[in-house]
Amino acid sequence: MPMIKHSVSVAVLAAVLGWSAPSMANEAGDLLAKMRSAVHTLNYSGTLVYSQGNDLSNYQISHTVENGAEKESVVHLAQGSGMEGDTAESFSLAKLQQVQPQMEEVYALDLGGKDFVANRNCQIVVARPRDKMRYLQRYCIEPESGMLLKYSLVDRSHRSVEQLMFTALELAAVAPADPAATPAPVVPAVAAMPPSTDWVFSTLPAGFQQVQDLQQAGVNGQAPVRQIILSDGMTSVSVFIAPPGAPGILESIGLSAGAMKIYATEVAQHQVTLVGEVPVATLQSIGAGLQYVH
Amino acid sequence: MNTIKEELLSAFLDDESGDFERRRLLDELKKDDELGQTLSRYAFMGEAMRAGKGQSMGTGVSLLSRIQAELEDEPAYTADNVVPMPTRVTAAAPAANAANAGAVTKLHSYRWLGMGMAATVAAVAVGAMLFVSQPEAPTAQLAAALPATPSKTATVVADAGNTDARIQQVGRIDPQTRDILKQYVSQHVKYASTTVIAPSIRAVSYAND
Repeated sequence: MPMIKHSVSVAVLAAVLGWSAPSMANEAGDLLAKMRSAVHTLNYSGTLVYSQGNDLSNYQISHTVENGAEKESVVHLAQGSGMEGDTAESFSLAKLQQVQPQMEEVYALDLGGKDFVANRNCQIVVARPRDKMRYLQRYCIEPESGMLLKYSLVDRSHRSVEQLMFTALELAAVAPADPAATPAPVVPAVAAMPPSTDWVFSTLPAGFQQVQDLQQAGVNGQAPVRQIILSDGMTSVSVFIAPPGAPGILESIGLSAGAMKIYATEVAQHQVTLVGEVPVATLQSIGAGLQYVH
Repeated sequence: MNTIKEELLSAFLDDESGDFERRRLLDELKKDDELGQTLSRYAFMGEAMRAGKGQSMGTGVSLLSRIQAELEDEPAYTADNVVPMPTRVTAAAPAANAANAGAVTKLHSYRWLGMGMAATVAAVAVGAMLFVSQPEAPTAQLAAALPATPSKTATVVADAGNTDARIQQVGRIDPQTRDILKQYVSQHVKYASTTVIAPSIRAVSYAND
């Protein structure tokens, strides 16, 4: 009899867990999508601490939306320097309103506990990688506004490679757009190219796919450099391809700056440099799959 | 707020805290909202005092120009200090590369950093340690295999005092490579940002490193 009771309990527990896991993942996905929208549509200002490896610094950030145009100011308080009035960039996956489908193949979304950051309640959302090719991402999001209050990237040794946390935050209502106002002109900073046919990836780490192909001006007036952007929906890698004869990096190198990694190599006599917030092994894997097709 | 927290905060704001103290302060900030507010208040006061002394707060400075300008200030090793050194670089012919076979190995001249053999060996060793310290096994294997095989992977730069190598260590590379990496990093931050808020902070953080 106790055996039967035990089996029933286990079955009930499994059913509850089986039912709640997708529900929590959906809720986590919804909250992430809400956050991605909120940080671009809300007016907010505040201060935050940012840690990268062992370094800790303090910033003041301000974001406003005027007639649909975003303005952001970031000032490094410790040194009184920063940038102000920079308009929103021309391309950012952060502006995607929905979580990309392939993301859920390589990350498991989960809801964590509650936290209290900058005098506000927030819900922890975790994007846990399903392999070694990316970092764990941890967000703490205010459910009502969708505002991000805390963010961290964690490697497989459970070491935080990058963290960001508001210490004070003010949210303001967004003024409705003035229909009479002239929208800010969109000036493409770089030339978007059709999908690359001469450069192909024979293999890519799971979940990564090409999302953008740009033509960037070369250094000091040199030949243009191609920037192919790959993404798994949560993080991205830039693959820079310099033509033969262009000034290049003279030797293969690997660099690390907190979450950001750089890896340079040579493919078909072209200098190829990969930059991204992923482990170096991921950059090496992407570089190894790159092929030049005549 | 107790005395220890005040001391941690004071040391951080005076730029006198070490890695351990900074980590501890971060842990305390996670738990103590009042401490976070105090940090913000003190930082603002410091900022106001610096602004009062005529220091710019960066108004009107564009993101990329900040990155370029700050990295320009880093020490560079000039061509005078660069000595050619033979090394093996695998250069695959395009057709052969397309067929994923027939890689040809040839010797390239190598621009040697003018810091002396011992310092360079130490840098490479620590650089290898940097990659070995990464959790990914393939990377560690590659780094370990470096001396024995003519691999295309060669770790060059790292901070001897800190395995969390910083981007300013690009300053140890020749100026041309450094300029190229600066541009690539700024273009990646600008055009391939995936996380919210963090790219802006990253960009200013790198600019001020």
